[in-house]
Amino acid sequence: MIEVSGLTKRYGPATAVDDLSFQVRPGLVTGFLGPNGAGKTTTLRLILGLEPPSAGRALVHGRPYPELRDPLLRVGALLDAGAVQGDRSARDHLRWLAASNGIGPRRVAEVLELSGLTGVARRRVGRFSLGMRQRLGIAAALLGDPEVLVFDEPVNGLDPEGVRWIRDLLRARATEGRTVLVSSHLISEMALTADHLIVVARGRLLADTPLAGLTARFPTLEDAYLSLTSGHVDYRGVA
Amino acid sequence: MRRALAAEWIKLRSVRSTYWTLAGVPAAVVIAALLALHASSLYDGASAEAKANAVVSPLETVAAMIAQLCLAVLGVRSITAEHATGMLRTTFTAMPRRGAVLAAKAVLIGATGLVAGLATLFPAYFLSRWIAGDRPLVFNESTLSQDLPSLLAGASLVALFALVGLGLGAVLRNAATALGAIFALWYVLPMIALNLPAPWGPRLGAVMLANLAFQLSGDPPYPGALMLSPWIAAAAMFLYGAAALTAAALALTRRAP
Repeated sequence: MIEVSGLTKRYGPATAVDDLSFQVRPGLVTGFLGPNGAGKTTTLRLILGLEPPSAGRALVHGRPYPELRDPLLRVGALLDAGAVQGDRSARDHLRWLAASNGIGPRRVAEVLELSGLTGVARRRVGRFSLGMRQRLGIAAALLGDPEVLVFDEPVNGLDPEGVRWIRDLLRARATEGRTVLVSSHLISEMALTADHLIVVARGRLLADTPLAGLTARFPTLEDAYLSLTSGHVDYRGVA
Repeated sequence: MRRALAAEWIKLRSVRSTYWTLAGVPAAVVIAALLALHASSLYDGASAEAKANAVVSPLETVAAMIAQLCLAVLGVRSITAEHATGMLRTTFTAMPRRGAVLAAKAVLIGATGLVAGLATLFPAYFLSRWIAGDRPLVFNESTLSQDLPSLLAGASLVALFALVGLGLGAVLRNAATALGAIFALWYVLPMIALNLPAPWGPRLGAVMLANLAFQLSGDPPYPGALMLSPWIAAAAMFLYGAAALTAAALALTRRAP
């Protein structure tokens, strides 16, 4: 369970997240959608305690994230797959993460196997493709077998097999009763993966609804999304 | 804290750059040995009058300067490599208690610095003396018990350089900028102090990081150096380390990674 209430983040005069309130419930895949610059990544950073909010609060398991003991056992997060040191092997990256939360070495081998990286575990991460780094980031998030998963754009750079893997993985975790929050720009992917949607634009909440509630009135989820966000897009190209 | 130490220890050992910077330790010992060989051969070919006036300053001091720079680089990199890649976000997601992360890094970098300092100074000390043999070159005419304070002070200064590197890296967040600051502390400021007129030159020189070890053990680093008492020198060294780590703690806890 993730509870966000009145969450606000200001950077000088700019407001990235503006009085945002929502809950992410267990047993569902909750999609987190919004145009570029909507404040999705900032919201996830606030949930993970990487930055303090200007107002409001974000609770995970009923507590602010920084107060969780051994947080990897409670929450698995993937924010930016590129944020790993390139001169370390995949296995060593997972080893230090495991050690930081008292997770045993056997689990490192398990998540390497789970993410299909066993064969390249000793290779330096700097040589990895974006898709392989993404798999490593997901392996890291699964290390503590947590009840809450927070993924920012997890299918970025993945091949079709990898996209299917992520989708099945997220669905399976939700079915087990875990809490899954996943942000994406890929509406078609969300239509296949999510049960529930939270749509934000310019830092504000636009919709907090079951997937079916949005798609009922429009032919596709994409049409529903575009109609919902039409007045709130900061960056628009011309065809 | 124990888990933070375990995690940071794996991080430190699992990148090649750690071993490259620590390779400076054996290199420094070799340089000290080569200087001892050079001094010995110069002595052997000198006139009787030159032999009587021959003075060679302690060669382990030269080796220690190389180790200071290498370990400062290790300290800088231990944090700026995480800033540069964004991995610091992963670190703080896994270990939200940022002070514990910094403390673990400081313990490991400081201990590595101390071991590296000892592993530089003692081999360089014994090797240079063994090479000089019984030639009277002044530096090899004292006993180990006389030289022990300066060897231990020199090793602790190497550890201090490593910690100051960690602190500067955390505050400046960029390896190149932090290395520039280290070079200023290691070389540029002591050189300025050496060339300023009295009383300011000697006063500034006395509190230079690179000169504090000499005052701690009571050996003037150069003729005419202003000497602080060992207790004040120890306090000054402590202040350098405390200032570096306090600034690092503020930078890491106040700024978003």
